[in-house]
Amino acid sequence: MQLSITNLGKQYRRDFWGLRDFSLEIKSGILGLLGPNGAGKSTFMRMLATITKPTEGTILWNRTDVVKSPDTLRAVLGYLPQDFGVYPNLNAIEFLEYMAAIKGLDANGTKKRIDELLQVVNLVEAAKRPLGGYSGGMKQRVGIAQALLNDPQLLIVDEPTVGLDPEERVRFRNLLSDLSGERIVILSTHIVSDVEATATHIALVNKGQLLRESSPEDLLKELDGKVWEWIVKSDDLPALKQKHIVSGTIRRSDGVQVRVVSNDQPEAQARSVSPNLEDAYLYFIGGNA
Amino acid sequence: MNTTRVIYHLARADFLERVRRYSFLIMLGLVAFLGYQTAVGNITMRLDQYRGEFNSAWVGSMMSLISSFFLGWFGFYLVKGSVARDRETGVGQIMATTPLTRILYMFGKFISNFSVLVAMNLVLAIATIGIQLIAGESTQINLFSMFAPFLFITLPVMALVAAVAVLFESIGFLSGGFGNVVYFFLFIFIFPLADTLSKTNPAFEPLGMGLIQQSAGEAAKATFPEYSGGFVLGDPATDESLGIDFEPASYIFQWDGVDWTPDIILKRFSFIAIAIGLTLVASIFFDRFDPSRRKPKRIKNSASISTPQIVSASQTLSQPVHLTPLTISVNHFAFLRVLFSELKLLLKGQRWWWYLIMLGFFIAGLRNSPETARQFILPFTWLFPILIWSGLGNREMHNNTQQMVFSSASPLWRQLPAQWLAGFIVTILTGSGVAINLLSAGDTVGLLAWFSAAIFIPSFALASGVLSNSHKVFEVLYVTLWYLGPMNKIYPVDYLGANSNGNIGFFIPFSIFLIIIAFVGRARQLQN
Repeated sequence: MQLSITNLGKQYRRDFWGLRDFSLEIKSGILGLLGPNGAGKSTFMRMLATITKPTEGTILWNRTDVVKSPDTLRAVLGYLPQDFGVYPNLNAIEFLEYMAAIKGLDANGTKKRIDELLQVVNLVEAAKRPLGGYSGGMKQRVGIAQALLNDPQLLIVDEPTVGLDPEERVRFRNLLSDLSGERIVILSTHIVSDVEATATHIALVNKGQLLRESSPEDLLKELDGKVWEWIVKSDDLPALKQKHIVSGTIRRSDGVQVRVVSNDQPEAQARSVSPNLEDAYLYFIGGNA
Repeated sequence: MNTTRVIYHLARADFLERVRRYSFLIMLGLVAFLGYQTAVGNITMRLDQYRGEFNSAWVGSMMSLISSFFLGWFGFYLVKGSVARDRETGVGQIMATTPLTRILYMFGKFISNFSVLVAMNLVLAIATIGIQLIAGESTQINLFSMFAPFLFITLPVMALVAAVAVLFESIGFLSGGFGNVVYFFLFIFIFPLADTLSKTNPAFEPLGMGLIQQSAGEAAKATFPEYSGGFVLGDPATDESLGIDFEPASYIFQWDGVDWTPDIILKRFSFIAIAIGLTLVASIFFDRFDPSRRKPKRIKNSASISTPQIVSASQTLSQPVHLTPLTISVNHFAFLRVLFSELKLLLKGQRWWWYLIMLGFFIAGLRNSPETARQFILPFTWLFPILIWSGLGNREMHNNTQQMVFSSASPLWRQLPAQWLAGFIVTILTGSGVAINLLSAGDTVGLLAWFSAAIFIPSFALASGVLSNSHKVFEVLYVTLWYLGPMNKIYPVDYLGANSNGNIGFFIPFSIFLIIIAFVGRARQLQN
């Protein structure tokens, strides 16, 4: 199972590309897409999900051109868009039955699959209520369930944990990890901890370009010796923020403990600490790499 | 809070949002087309076979009446939807958290609606100068005579339309497709009212036709004493149709316009006061984007809907999240399942009384004479499910499910045909009483017309829905067609064969064309 993306680009206006020269080889596992707003993550995912046609480049799913034969991928695709709606007069079971039908699933076994999915997304008790009355988080869980209906080989989830409460977020992370064996999962999110908890690979995207793609371990290795912590006076904090990438602050009785990402030791009293993904994100997106 | 400033900015933002939309351009194009049709003489105003000289007063009055009629009718559908947009985009809820009052919000919407309609009128008003010059009967431009009818006739009508649109949007059951149909009938019923008022108090006749008819009629009578009081807007007179000698001197009279007395102006502007009153009424009904004030229509168990089940953290986190791998295969030919699902989706949410009424139509179609069934039962039977058909082709966009649906297998060759077929099945089922009646009476011609209509209606709905991404276009066009064809016996568009043999030679090929258009449109949506 392989997804090969070569020189992918999407032009929206004559002078604006949402994504350009984007090349990536994706194999089984969870790929976490990280990037700021407007980086091109959703554009990339919509092209993978056969919703948006690329302006240039190729997407190959097991060597089949997805742009030319989208149905090849659609048959094994599960997609959770960032922004989606539901049919308000249907209940969760009816909606999932509808989605199963248009995904081309046989009736045999669909019911069992839907029952299981409703348990997984914790909607069993609400399953027979019309979707029009669901809260945002409940609708999001219906979206997650529909994405998993056909046991997809390629699962694309765009901001899947938006609107979920902390418990549901943990459940979803566990679910993703459980699913990620023999399939490709592409996860886009702003919540770095979601990626940290689940991703086997990370792609950093900014201004429509792929900045870096590696395993979380390799990404963190690059930051070894570049993350520092020390205590400063509250009054010095604004000046420090102007000068360095500050990835965290904790207020203490003797001042503010700051966490800074910097190639060099910023102050004599600063001590090197273990990097985390948030540090890496700020370091690479901030252009210090 | 500075009230004027708030209303100004509310209306301005809304106005700019709308005039930058594609639908505004289409409507502007239609208005320009109307101007062109008038300029070339295809649309005109006449009093029986007589008409006034094409001077500023005549051309200005004619154009203002055309505008009142056209924008009074279709302008409603253009401006309605602004509150719904605020609701759908979530902007409304943000506004609801500000000190903005319901009255201010409604007035902002009213002024925005009014401004959009006035902008349309400006196009027609400017075109009026060109029309007079092209006609060449009078080269003297009298700006007051030309534009006074726009000011005193059309603007009050536009204010009324703007306010009615706001009112409909504020009342839950009128805010959707049902309101679109209701407005059509409301507009149609203005005409009998206009006829009465034209005789008693023409200035109070909303569309202003009575006022022009009375004033121009007096001038016509002075020149042609045999003039009997008729008035036509739209259909041009031809010597063949009227059987008269068409020498200009025998049918053109001089008319310098309505004598705009303060009394008439006051009466006309009273419509603006009514419009303001309607806006105030609208603010009473307006829910201020509070979901709890809107009836959860067609949703059962509403009281418990939003109450999430209470599950302890330990319970949820300890639950296994393992999914059994799917052993069933993806069946690329599961068309029947998609069809069944589409059918379910079309009918889901209909209340018991909907089925009861359809049953009533079925029995009425079966038990009346074939003629009655064709002329009266079938037209109403196939008007009633309009809100079901109007969802075809645009339901995905309307409910924002398009990304999920379009990324499923074969959305073009499986889901779209299934959607059409589901619409076709609903059409057949609802009209089956009449069909059985015609079949048992051996009315083959009627049955063929019935069949061509059963193909045409879902095809028309699907194509309109896919191309416009909206249910509104089908609702407006279908009701118009229904009114003109089956109800007003304009035979070429009598798609039901209610008063004719039907026009199956046109409607069946046209339906196929519409289906092709829908497929092309959907293919483009899939390849954006």
